[in-house]
Amino acid sequence: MTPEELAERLVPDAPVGLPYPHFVRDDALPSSLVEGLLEWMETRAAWRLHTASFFEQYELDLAASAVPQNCQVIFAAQTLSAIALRYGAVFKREMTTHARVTAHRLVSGQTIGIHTDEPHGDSETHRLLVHLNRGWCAENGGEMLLLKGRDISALHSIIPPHSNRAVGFEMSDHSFHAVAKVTNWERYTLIFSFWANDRPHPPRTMHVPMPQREQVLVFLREYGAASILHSGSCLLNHLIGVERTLDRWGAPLHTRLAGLLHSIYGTEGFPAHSDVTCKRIAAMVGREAAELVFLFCEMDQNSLLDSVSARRPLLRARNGALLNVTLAQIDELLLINLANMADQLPRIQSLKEVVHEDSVAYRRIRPYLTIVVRSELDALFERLLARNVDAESENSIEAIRSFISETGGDDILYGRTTLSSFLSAIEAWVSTRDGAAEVRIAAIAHGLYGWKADFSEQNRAIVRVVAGEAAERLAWLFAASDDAAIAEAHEAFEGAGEFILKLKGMQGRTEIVTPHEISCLSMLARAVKEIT
Amino acid sequence: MSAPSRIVAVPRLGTGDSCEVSGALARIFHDCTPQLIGETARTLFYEMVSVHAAQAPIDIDLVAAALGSLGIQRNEISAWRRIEDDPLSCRRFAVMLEHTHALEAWCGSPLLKADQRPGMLLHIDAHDDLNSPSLWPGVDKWEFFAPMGPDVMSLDDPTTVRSFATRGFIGIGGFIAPLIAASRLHSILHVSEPSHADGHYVASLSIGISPNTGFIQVEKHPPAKPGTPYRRLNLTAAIDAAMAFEGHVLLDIDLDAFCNRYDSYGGSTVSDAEALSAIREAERLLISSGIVRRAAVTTIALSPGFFPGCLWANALDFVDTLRKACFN
Repeated sequence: MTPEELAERLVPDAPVGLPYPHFVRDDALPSSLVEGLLEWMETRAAWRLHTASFFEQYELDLAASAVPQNCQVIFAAQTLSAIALRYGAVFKREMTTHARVTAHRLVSGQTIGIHTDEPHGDSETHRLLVHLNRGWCAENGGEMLLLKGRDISALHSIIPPHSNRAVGFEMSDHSFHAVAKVTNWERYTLIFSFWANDRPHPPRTMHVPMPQREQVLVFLREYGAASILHSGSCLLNHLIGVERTLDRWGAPLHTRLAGLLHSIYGTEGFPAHSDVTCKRIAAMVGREAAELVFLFCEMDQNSLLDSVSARRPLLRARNGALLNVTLAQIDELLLINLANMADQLPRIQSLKEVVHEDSVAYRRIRPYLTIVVRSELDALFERLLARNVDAESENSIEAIRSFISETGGDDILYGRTTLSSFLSAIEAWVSTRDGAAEVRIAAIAHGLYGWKADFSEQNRAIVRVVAGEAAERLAWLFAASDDAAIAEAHEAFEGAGEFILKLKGMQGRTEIVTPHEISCLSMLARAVKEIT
Repeated sequence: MSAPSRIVAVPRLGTGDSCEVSGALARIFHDCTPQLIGETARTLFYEMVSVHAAQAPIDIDLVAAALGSLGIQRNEISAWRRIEDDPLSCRRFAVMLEHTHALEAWCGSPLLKADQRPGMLLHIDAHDDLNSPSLWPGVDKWEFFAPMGPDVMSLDDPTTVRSFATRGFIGIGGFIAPLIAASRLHSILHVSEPSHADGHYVASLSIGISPNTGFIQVEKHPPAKPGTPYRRLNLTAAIDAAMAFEGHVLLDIDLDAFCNRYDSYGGSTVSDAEALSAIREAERLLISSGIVRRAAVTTIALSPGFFPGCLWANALDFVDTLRKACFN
């Protein structure tokens, strides 16, 4: 099929006029091309998530992607020129032969709000979309909506996204369109952009090619990175993930390239898998990136953190030798280090110690980060640590509950119930009121005092091992004080500005407690009162 | 089934001190002494220890008798019992130390299970054992709520009866009341001193609720009032009456009927020889009358703390003779 024949197949002779000039064409591409493109996009294409105010979707820059040989015809310059010319005839506009092609992927839950793509400046004037997917039904959503205005009440027509259906339209200040929410399905679209001659077309350099990146990816595949296990995935995925994270954070090209190779010589936590010379790396990505790769692999991570905190280059090799770096390189190494964390931590979150260590390291250097990096990592650590705290507290509660149960708590009578049931009821009461983890643990653990443990420091230390420090202290304080003492501490706070809790039966011992502790103790007291 | 824990956690309420709590626990848990094992500002933890283990027994032969005659330790005295069923006749024979366990033996009896008509209790005992157990009435008349904890005792489930008995909720003098409450007794014949010929006290028993505790309690009324007839007879008259009864008979013997030497409310002055003689005479009457083979359940309690330990070896011969008569 010639480029002209392909263009004729894609674009009909005349558009529909309402709500704005557009057309719909089914069976737009040869089926072998559809299958080849779909197979590639589903399995090998490097999608990147793009989130904006009115949409979220995965995007693919086809000019920068290694499109399979048998599919390249659709993106060939002659084909794009032929389509552009046909657009000129159909929409009765003089078109340039310049074109750009990208692809979009929407997955379940994603949608695109109402917008016009109104052409301004040097942006495109016409679009051609080609839907590619594995069957569609109405329950899948993802229809293209054409509207007469900016509100959904102005809906004009709904175009189902049948596979191999092309939709073309002219963009203007009233080309309102949207995409309905996708459900349990993946919606792939090729997006061809064209420029009318009366609009400035974009500079040819609009897409910055990354030949080095492609080279690095080829090198990494040869290196075997796709089959080396790393953080619950393969090394290649991790390296690409780090590079994407750096890209998202606005890192310059050489830092992104260094991110792609950051562990190639082996790092503190990851061994090298074959000998690679610095010379080869430098030849591939340039001196700047190669230096970062070398430093990253060589450095002692703590010395990087020291350098950031001190704002002085104190970087040392793992053998203790001082490394010669600039402050700018320290910042770049830090960014690679953080991108490394951001990519792998979600996959290894079950390794609590790693999450904990990284969070401690992150807290140390957080003040020196940009808002973009900080906000992403804040959210990540909040999520990971919350999961860890939840899991740890559940483990503690279960361990203490089992201990009490196995050592007779199920048979110890407590009013109309048993000690085990009573303690569990307090814990459930606290839990349903979103009490903090330490209060829930203390609700169970306080039952140990007076029975399995006296108030001695030795016993407290044993309980602390299972309950954790904060929860054990709460349990101990609660067991050692009555409601009157807690109320009295409140009054003392109002009068003297501090909480002093009188402990019962401890030779008049008092304990200074924090406002948080007194609020936790009050919650426990309320729980006991309501349950008994 | 292991014996339930005898630890009790008591929330501190108001200004009540541990002495008051101990007193209250002693009233709830029969035949136990509360021992404070730990306390916090909010909770007092007590272990309810059997009186046999908590105190040096007045009967100095008791511990040696338990070990020598039955091979059991002092702390096992309160829970020990042995229950056997004859596979052919389905008659049940049970021997125990504390009389409390008679209730479990009655509740699991194959003959009583098969025939739910109220039986006659022939109760040979120095005491009437009509005290109040620490039980709250349940939804059905054969069910009872525990005074502490979530458990329910059902007379149809001997394991729950065993659990309540070992926890101390029933007591050595309160094990008959649940049967009266459940209308499982046609009448009670009480022989308090088998060797004496007097008696003939007659009353009618019903179950009421203690205004102080809410526990069930046996109330004695004049015989004309409706209720479970209670008659105090001598042994011969009681055996005659039981033999004439058409339903099942529960033969229940507490050896303190022959010698109630260590009863803290006034022990008997019967000598060892007199006691053994009375036992032999009762043995003769019980076997020759045929009442042992007539009874659906025979329960015999050695009653530590009442019947002297020095006579246990002879008493166990008596038990063995009756057992043979029952099963052969």
